[in-house]
Amino acid sequence: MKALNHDSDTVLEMRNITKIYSNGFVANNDITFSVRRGEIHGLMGENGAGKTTLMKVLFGLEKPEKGQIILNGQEVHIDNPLQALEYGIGMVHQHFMLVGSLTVAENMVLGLEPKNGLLFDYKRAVRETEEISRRFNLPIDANAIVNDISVGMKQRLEILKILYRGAKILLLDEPTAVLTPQETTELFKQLKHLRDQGYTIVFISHKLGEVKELCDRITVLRRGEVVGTADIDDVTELDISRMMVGKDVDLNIEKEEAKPGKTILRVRNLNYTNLFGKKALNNLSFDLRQGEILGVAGVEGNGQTELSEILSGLLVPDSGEVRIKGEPINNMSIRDIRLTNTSLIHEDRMIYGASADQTIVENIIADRYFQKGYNSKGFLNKKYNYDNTRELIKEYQIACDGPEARISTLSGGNIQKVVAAREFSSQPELLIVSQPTRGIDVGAAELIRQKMISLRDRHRTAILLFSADLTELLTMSDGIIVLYNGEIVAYFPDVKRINEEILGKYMLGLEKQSPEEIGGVVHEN
Amino acid sequence: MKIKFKQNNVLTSQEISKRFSILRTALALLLAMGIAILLIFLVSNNAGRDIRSLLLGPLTSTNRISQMINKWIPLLFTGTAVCLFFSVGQINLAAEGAFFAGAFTSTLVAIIGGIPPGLHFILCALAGGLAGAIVCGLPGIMYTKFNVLTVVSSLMINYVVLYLGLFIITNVVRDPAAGYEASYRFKNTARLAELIPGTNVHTGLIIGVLVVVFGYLLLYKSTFGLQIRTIGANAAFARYSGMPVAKVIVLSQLLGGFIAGLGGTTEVLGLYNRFGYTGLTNHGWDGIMLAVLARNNPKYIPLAALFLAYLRTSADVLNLTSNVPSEVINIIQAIIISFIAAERFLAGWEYRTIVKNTEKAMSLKEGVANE
Amino acid sequence: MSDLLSMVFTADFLGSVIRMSTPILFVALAALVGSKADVLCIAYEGIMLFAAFGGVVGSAYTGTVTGGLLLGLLLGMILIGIFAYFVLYLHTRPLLIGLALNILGSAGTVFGLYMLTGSKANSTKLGSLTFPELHIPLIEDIPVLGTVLSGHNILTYVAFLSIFIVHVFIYRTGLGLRIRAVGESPKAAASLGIDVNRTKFIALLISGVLASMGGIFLSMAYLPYFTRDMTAGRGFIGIAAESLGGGKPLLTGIWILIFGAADAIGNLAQSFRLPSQFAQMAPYLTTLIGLVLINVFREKKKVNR
Repeated sequence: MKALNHDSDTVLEMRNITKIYSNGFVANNDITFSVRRGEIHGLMGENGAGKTTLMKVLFGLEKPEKGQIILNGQEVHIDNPLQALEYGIGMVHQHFMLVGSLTVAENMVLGLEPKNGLLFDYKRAVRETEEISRRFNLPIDANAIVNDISVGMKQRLEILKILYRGAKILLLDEPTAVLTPQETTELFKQLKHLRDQGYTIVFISHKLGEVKELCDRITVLRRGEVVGTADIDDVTELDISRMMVGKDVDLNIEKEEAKPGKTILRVRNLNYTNLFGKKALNNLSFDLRQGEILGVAGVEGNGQTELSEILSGLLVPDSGEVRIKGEPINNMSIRDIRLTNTSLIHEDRMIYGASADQTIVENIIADRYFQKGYNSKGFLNKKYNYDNTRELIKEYQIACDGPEARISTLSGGNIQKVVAAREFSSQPELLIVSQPTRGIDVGAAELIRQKMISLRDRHRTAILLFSADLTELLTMSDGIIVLYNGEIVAYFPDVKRINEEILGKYMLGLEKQSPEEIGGVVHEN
Repeated sequence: MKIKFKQNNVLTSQEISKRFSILRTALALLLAMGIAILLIFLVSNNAGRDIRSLLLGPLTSTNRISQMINKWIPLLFTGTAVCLFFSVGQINLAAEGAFFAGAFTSTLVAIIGGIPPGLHFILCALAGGLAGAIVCGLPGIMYTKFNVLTVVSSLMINYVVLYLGLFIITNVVRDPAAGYEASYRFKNTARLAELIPGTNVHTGLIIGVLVVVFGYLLLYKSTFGLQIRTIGANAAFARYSGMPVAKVIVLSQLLGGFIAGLGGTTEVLGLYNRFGYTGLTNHGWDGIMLAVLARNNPKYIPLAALFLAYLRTSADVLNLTSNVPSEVINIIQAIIISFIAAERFLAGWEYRTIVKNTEKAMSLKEGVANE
Repeated sequence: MSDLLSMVFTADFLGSVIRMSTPILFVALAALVGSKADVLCIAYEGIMLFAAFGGVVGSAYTGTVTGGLLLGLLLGMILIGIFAYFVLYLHTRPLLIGLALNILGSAGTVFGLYMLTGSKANSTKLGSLTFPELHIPLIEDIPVLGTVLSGHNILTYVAFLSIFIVHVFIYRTGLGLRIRAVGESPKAAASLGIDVNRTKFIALLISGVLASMGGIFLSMAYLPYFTRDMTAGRGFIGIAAESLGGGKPLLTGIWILIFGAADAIGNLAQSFRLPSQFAQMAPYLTTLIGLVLINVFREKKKVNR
């Protein structure tokens, strides 16, 4: 591990950056970070470590409370993306910033449109797009409508967009998250090519293999602080993972051996084609039993969202069967599904999980107001509901002004506690839960995980857990299935015998189990 | 980390926001009045008298007070109806058409003879209410079934209803003896009785107050109201929680339409002896303004409606006693809606106050910690 | 009835369809530019009234048509400027400020009319001017086509020309591209340094020019004076036509002609003692049915993909 040394190659330096969000979350704490000219620098860390925030500060999207940015030896102030671009800094966001109904060429020149008299010179836009595509060896169809092109091409368009605007330093925020392996390989080739032409690239990722393959140096963040910077050749993958995960890899979860009972959720030959005609789920079959936590692993975009939405009744599958406690859910409304004593937690907290402008009470009773006790003859039972909510606030340690506090006044962790309080307190027999701890503080995450374990043990709840956090998945789950390209490619009945690395191979499609092994997740016929 | 403010007499941010919302309303009223007075100075030949009329006109005689009460009654209905529409998140502008439909449909029943009093009004009210329900329910159905924008469909429906009504009145039930385009006389058994003898304030007042109470209880105390408000606040969340979103949207539009239609019934059977409207009456648009003022809570509709009725009566007084056009009142109305609806109006000041307040609270807290 | 049908297919009738379509066409194009920027403005009624009133006053006091045009545009722009400022910078719900401005448009013009003429009904006392009619030399002499196409008010030609101007503006200029970008994906536009609010503001001002032209047509061509509330819901029909046209200028233009035809049939029907109300209802009913059919069609297309 080398100390940060000041060499003349340094093109960009961020000193003592501190960023605190309005809900009090410290995303960056006194971060100092530097990049050399012409290198690919990996910025690593787990979800929520502060990587994206740091890059947003650099790109003028977030205003830090403290700190300096030094570019080519001179301090600069970057207040908005336009200034960043003027300084030659361009960012490719995790979620594409493209206008879907416009063509590739139109997206390319947006804001810098070539003119022909009064008119927009579309032909020149196309020509310039093709030129820059050739120059950087990033092939693209200039006349295609963005909505119709592949994810990989969208990514290339994003990179070309900032190159077109003269960026010399490229910030790429988890660019491989949505790519297929082939597209990733292709992207890496292109990025190395750019580096060889003298461009500097900051590559945000939490994937060890990718960083090891692509980067020259890395900086690792953990919980908003720098853990260290190193040349890639000086560290092994194990070193990096230790830096990323730190000592607190132990999630503080104690759980006993699962004692699975009879099947609660039964999925057979499930198929789903999404709006864009992509086969999102391909002949999925599995069972989930009482008192068992089955984890679902997979790189984002491999069918997890679709599967969880079908199971909760938001989407209707093309074919196949889903049964909860023996009842087919094909014709059930979401209410009907919930009435089978199933609880649902969607990955998108602020859209499906909570209603920001309403109070905690209203959020808590949203799924049960029609049941006995919560109302009498159609009128809400105020005292009962408030007392109930107060108890939940206490039990889940929700920091708030009381049952009448609006959700929008709470921090992310406390909002998720409200969601969990609602979904867990009905003591469900089946729980479909996605990303339960994404982006929330450690305390809240720990409480929510403990509650799930206690549901499993005390109420024999069957839990299907979708999570992008592999540590969480490996700690919480009893068994794990891996989704790749809409298919189950692996089933691990005993999580203790695997680790992140093994999971990673299957998630990335490098390996696939035999049909017999995968079939192990079907427990009854 | 949550700081408890209350012990130290420091306000929470939520309380500050509430105060600023009141301040915004007060400033809007003041600004509107200021502009109205300015306009009066511009045209009036006796500004002092006219400003007095504007401010106090409605209170100068019992006749005017009863006029004001009668203007107040229909607003209770349409205001409550629009609260229902807006609470569920539907920008349904068809209360205007529903009011008109309620008026002409109940006319068809009110001209039938031989029905006992009491029952006759109830039948008229049912007819009017149902007509209103259909008018406002259609945009709701079109939205939930066919994804048609409610704003556009409800605007169109208003005009369809208008011309349908005018057709029926002028071609089917027109009384040639009336001397103008109007229906046959309502039977006395259908008309609403006087409430206060010696004035023309009618028993529709009681119905109106009941409707407001009903609307409030429904929206804020019942499970149906919880569904309405949850859908309005976040429809995806409501759906995921298991609420029957489409059903609640359509039902709330039908119910609001019924209320607006009932308003039309009450208005014609309380005030007139024939149906004589030749165009839309603006009561539905007024209902929208009232719902905005009341922030979609029927509890505040009576106050907001009283304010509007007061202004409208001032307008009548001005019309009778001065050369100032009564449109001054509508200009006031426009200004008030604009500034109350402007969420960021005074936002900078509000933000600074909240920040200062938080700093104060934090320093107080530190002070306690240091002791 | 057959008499009516035979009259429908005369040149006079087709000419009147074009005349009736003019003001709605202006508003629909205004709504189209607004919707590309993703702002639903219902204030066109008020804006048209202000512009119509301004046109009359301007032409009467300057004695020139240009004076009318300028004052009309100015008043219309002031109103849409207020709308844009409230919506974009004060975070006001477009519906509410639109509603307020429609009230202001109606009341403000009556107030102004009364101040200037002492009448609350119309502006005949002012003696305002009208735009001239345009007789197109060669086309005028073609038998039927000449009557249909020639001899209209100059603003009518401007309106139909505007279909193409708006099309070119939206799809073939840099500003049009930016307007489409901020309307569809404001974040993407902002990430490239485009000032989203400013772009929307400009789009609304352009929309205001178009709507104002519609108002000016009403008081300086369709009628030679201003009458109170003379827009009579045309602002709303324009919005509906835009919605039916699905944001396409040419398709919107076709819907406008259908509305214009319904309007014109209404006028004809009255002279045949048919209930005029049904004809007056026609454009609104057409819209409702059209909206349902179009959405059914769109849903089907989505499923087929």
